[in-house]
Amino acid sequence: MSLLQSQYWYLLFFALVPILLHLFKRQKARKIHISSLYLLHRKARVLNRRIKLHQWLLLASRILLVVFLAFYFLRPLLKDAPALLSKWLPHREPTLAFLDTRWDSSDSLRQELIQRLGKTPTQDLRFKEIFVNKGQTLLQTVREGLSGSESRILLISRFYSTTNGEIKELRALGMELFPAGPPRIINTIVSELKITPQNPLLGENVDISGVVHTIDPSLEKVEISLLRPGRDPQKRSLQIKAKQTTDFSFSIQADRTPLEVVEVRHDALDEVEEDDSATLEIPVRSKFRIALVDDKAPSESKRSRLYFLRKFFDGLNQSFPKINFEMTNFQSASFLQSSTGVYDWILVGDLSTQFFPRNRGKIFFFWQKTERMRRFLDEKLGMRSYALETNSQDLNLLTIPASDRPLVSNPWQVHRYLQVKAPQSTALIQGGRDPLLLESNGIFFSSFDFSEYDFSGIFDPYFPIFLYRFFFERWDRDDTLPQASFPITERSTELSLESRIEEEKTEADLSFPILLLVLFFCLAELYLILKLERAIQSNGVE
Amino acid sequence: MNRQEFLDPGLLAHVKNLYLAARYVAEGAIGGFHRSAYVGYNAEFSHHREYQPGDEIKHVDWKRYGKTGKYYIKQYEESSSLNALLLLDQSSSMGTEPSKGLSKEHYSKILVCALAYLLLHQRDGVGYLGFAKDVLSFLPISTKMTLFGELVKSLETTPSGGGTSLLHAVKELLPRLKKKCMILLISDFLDLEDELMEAVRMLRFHRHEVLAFHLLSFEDLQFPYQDFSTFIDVETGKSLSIEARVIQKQYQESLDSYLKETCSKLQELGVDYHLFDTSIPVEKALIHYLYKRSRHL
Repeated sequence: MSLLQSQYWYLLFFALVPILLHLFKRQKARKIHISSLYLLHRKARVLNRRIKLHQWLLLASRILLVVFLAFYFLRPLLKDAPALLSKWLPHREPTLAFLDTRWDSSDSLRQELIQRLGKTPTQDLRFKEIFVNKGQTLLQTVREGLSGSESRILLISRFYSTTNGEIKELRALGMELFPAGPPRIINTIVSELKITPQNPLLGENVDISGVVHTIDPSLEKVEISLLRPGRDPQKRSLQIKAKQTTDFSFSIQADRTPLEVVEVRHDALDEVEEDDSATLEIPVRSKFRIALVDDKAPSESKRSRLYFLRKFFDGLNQSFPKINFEMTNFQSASFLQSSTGVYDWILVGDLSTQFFPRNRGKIFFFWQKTERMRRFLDEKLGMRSYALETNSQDLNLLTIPASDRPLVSNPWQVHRYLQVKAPQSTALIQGGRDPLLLESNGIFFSSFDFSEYDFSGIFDPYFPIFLYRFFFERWDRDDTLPQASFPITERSTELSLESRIEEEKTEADLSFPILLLVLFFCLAELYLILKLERAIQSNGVE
Repeated sequence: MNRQEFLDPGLLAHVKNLYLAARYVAEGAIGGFHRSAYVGYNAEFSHHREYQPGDEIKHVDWKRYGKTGKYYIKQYEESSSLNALLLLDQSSSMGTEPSKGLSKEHYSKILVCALAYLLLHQRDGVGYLGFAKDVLSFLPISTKMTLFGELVKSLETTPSGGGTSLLHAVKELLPRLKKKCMILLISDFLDLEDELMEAVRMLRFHRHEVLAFHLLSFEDLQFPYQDFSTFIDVETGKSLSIEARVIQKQYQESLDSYLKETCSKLQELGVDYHLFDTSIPVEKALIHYLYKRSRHL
């Protein structure tokens, strides 16, 4: 016999309670010295024997009641029970089986699991398919899928790429792990592909980089090809080692709009073909629509706060002549009345009237000089004074500590600072407690007055780069790049389970009969108490 | 217990004027039992005493009344040959402390003193034997008042305790008795059922008169317990744990039948049996007994 909830073994100690109470009562008994037990013994012997018998029966009944109640919670399971017993008292254990469908279909995993569980698998078996998303581990995915109500949790997977530590943690969760498939598959993959820039302009050079990974110890050399329709493939020959990553990179010029499709492939022979190549669709821009909204002056005027951005885009247009930079000046009222469609960016300088376009493109507001407009934008954005008091944690902003504040007094310094401190997040920034450039609900602002600066690139050579990345990279970023999902196709060494084929199970769940026993002893207790009380009331005469 | 406790002058003054009649007291001297053998009203005048309620009118000295105008009773020196032996149970069972009144041990000692005083005052011979498992002390029968002092001293100094063996005491006693005696047996008679009868039978066989003074305390008589308790026998040390209220009724029934049986069996053997409740003052109980006895004779 085994106990399904054996962790509650300490409940058995509660059986001591009636014993202790009994002893305590006896201990508490008053000691009376009398002349002789002669008169008491004349009839008390028989009577006392009867009362004592009742009391012992009551004590025994109480102990058994507590013991059986404890056993009920411990969920006893009778193994190798007679067939009839296991038929009438089947073991119904709520079981959740996770099926890792990364390598195998869910049907095949179900069949394999049922086969391994034996001919009479648990009747409350529930299956749950899981797929480990990019950047997640098997452990994280399984944890998210746990509901906590199951007493038995199974996981069938190939356990490739699962680390020993993860296996230990999975077991610590009380899971039974069923490895499926072969312990390892000879595989070579292309993964971690990156495109820089991610949203290139027409004619711009694009870098495509990635890594090759293999677990084939015999493989020493692999050829990586970059395939573009209608073009000659580019090839790289790489020296590689098993279980080590090897970097590669290609450079192409984006000359097809709106998408440049490339495929990266390796030529090694292996057992999994799906991860031998990766196809990338690179969005290429040939047209960039910008609305420059300023109620004070058109953007060409030096009085406009949008002047420097106009200059920046003009410069950009000269660098990429194939790209059509469509820049249109608006006053706020005329922009709202116009029906010129969607813009890539709506850059907003000084406003004299309330202006808050919707669904017309990404908006960039400058810090407004009039209190009225500032208040209006505050209300619209649910922020105060351009979020100067907004908690940066809520917006996930990079915080520039107060000590570094003198380093970031102008935009290019901000850019340089970010390059050093946080190369992956160059746009949303905050100086001390003051947000300098931030985003809320797709609206971007700056509390900087950029009009003070020369953006020709002569004085602040990095600032155009910053603006470029701000307008073209960061906010157009698309995270749908294909990533290889199985960097390792070898099973964890921690997992040495062999295929488990169980014999026909003849288990009987004794919870129900034990519950009946608990009820029986409750009634017995009641009966004995009443009988004892009646015996006492009638002075033992029945 | 000190001497003053069981030599209460009030009690002794009371019992002094009382009279313990023995059925066989004059048997040797006058050769038979008849009413003229009233002990204490013999021909030899002793002294006068004031009339007390309960005294018979016929004993009033009318001549003296004529002279003084007060009622006096004539007292005569008794010249019977009554020998009495006080047989006192000094086992542990007598020593249990009751919640009401005196302990049986204390009570019995007072009773012994009172009876001895009364008998000595009647010029009767008094002897004493204290027993428990064995004979603890023995004073041969004597009519001298000095015996009273010795008796008191013996009661004071003899340690009581242990079990009870009445039969053994009687067997020890019988060879020491040269005449027929009145045996005043003072005990709680607990645990002595067969032994008591056997001992009495032996005494009666030797033609001694037996007076059984059965002493029971308030606890013995009422069993005033309710809770679950452990009752410990002071003599044997045996214990019994029980719900007291369960056994209370049974105990009363058991006690009643035991008293009835004991009384009837003793009476069958010609024993004058009297039950003393130790919660009732000795003086009151003894006077009641003596009056009752005097009426029966």
